[in-house]
Amino acid sequence: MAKTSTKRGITRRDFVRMAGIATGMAAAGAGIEGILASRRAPAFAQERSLHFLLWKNFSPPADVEILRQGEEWGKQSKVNVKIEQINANDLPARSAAAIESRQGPDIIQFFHNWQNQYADALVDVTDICTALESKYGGYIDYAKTHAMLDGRFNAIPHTVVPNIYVVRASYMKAAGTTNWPKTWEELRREGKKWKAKGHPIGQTVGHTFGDAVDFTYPYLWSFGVAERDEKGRVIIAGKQALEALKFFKALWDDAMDPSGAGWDDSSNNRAFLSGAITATNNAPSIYLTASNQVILDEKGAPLVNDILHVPNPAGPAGVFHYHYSQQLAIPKYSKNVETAKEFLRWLMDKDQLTKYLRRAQAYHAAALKAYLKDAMWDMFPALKPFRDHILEGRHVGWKGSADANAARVVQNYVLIDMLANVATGKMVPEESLKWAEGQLKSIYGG
Amino acid sequence: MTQLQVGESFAKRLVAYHLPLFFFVLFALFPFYWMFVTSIKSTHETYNRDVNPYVPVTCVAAIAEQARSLNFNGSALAENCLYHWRTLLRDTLFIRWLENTLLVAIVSTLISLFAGITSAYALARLRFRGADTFGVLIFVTYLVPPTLLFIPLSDVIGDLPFLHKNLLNSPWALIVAYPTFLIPFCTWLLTGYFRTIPKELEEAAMIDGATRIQAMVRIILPLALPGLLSAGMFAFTLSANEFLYALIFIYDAPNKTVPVGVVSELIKGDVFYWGELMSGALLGSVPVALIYSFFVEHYVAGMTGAIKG
Repeated sequence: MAKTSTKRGITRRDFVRMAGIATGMAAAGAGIEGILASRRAPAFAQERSLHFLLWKNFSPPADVEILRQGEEWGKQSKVNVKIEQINANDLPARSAAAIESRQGPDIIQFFHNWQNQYADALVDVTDICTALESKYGGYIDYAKTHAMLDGRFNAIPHTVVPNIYVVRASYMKAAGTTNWPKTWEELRREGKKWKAKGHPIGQTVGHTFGDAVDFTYPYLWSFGVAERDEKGRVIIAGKQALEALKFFKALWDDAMDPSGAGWDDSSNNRAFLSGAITATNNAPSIYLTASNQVILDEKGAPLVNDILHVPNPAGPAGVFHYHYSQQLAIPKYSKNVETAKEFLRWLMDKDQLTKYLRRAQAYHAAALKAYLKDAMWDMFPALKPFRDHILEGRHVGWKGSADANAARVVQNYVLIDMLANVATGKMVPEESLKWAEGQLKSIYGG
Repeated sequence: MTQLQVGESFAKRLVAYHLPLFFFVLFALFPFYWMFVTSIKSTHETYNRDVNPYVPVTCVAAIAEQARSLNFNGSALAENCLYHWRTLLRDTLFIRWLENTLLVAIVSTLISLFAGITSAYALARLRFRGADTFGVLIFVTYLVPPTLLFIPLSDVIGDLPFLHKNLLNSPWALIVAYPTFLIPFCTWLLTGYFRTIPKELEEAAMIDGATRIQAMVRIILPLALPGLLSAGMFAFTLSANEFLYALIFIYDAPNKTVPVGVVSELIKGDVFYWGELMSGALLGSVPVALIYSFFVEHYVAGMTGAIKG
């Protein structure tokens, strides 16, 4: 039989229970008055949430890992973590809309130094970054430069995607090339033979976030070209730039696939994997796709066995590379700044970062130098050349700073268009250089 | 094309009529064939340059084998021919994206048609100062590209209240946003069409006692049906295919529309799931193709202005 209340009303046991509840509520916060005064529900009654926007990784297993990590942290921290992934070329539009309308994701991934355009709208994360630096022995220089403006970190350097040349050894050999060309001039000479055999060099000079920038910037640097000097003045117009453009036209016509003018970041991967090209400047994704999908060559053998990874050829000023960095930033509009910081600290912890990088199969390196010694590189020996050249990169906007204007130059594809104009015959080198100088001056001023 | 008469020779009909028509049909249907063939090929077959790209070899072989042995095996056929379709429909939210697309396209088209009819009628029939300038300005609005508008629009959409939140991340965000370019388009198209309808018909109705609204609804709109269908079909197609606003305003996968859902879920870096992409493209184009095929005569009449004064 169910227990009924006594006629006396409140029993001694009821009184103790009610007093306990009242004491608990008072201890938990400011009590009813406090709750009413704050005009919002007590914190323990609110569900914490976090919205994280990032790209669809070129190494798909990395996506599986980041989703798993989000779920794991969400469970242990009782936070509803929503991870949204979109194509990299769509990230600038999404982040611009979110920041301008002050609504959207709590954490946004940026490439190159894109986030410097919105530095004032981003949370200062210097505390997290300096703690990570002192714990892990410093960042790769250009990754740090990309994440900082005016002495403060507006994003946490996360990873670096290395880019060198990916080559079909058998195509090179079939055309009579025994060693990878050491200079651009040699590349042009050998590439001409490859093109004659039906397998040219594949290179995009289209409007796409990765490969176009990864090729154009180090190519120009190797001819001694800089878009501006240390004081920020535009200095592109010079004989080095003209020489670089004239040579590029010859390289394009003699050795490159003309359809590259309209390629995006995935086009050269597909061209390489389908046997259309001999070489292309790229990240490790071609190798990983060939390996993971067990793509076969014309003879039915695994394509990965025919892939070489080699450094960029040298120009008159030497050998240069550009490896784009990836940063994670918290917009100031976020209502979950502390939760986002908490998550990012956890995500950058060695356990999580190591798992992420390894699951990505060494597609990217950590922005922290210490990880270059990680055993991951021994697990993927074919990708070690990427690691070996990773410290040779520079920041965008060099010789000047990687400020918001340098990001605009990247996002407006000014230097890429300068090459594309010449390659496609739209302009002669002198015209294209003048055009680019005008564009740079309108962005940098002066 | 030469007007053919009964009794003309077969050769003449072949050259003047059947052959051009054949090539036109081939040209028009080839993209659909390509989508279909790619959707029933295996991934290896798609990437293999040594096999005939126009024939789904594995699938055809599986069908031929079953036909020869008279032993129907549905699961083997599904594995060899319908693998990508199964993945698309089972492992992605494609059906949900299709529902969202239809909801957004139908509602925004109806809103835009209503607004377009009323404003076009006013511009075509009511004499008020600045009507012509206003008409031009409406059309100029249509010419402003979404790439300029998406940032201020996301600000506006984010401030519109919806179920204790705001409109962002809901299909209703698109239903509000799409009329911004559909209404100017419908208005421009219908203004021109209404002007082809003789005023006298309407005036006769009004002399007989109809109000202006009644004259519009009972006389003008039935006559303008081809124009309305053209505007409706264009508006439906434009909203069903729209990408940028759908990318910016919608975050969660279940709320996405087909153009964004397919691209964001079936292209992963450099890995293109071509089979699923082509199945999705084919399935996504079916509603639009059906609508066009049902109303093609009205549509053509609408585009050419069938009412003669």
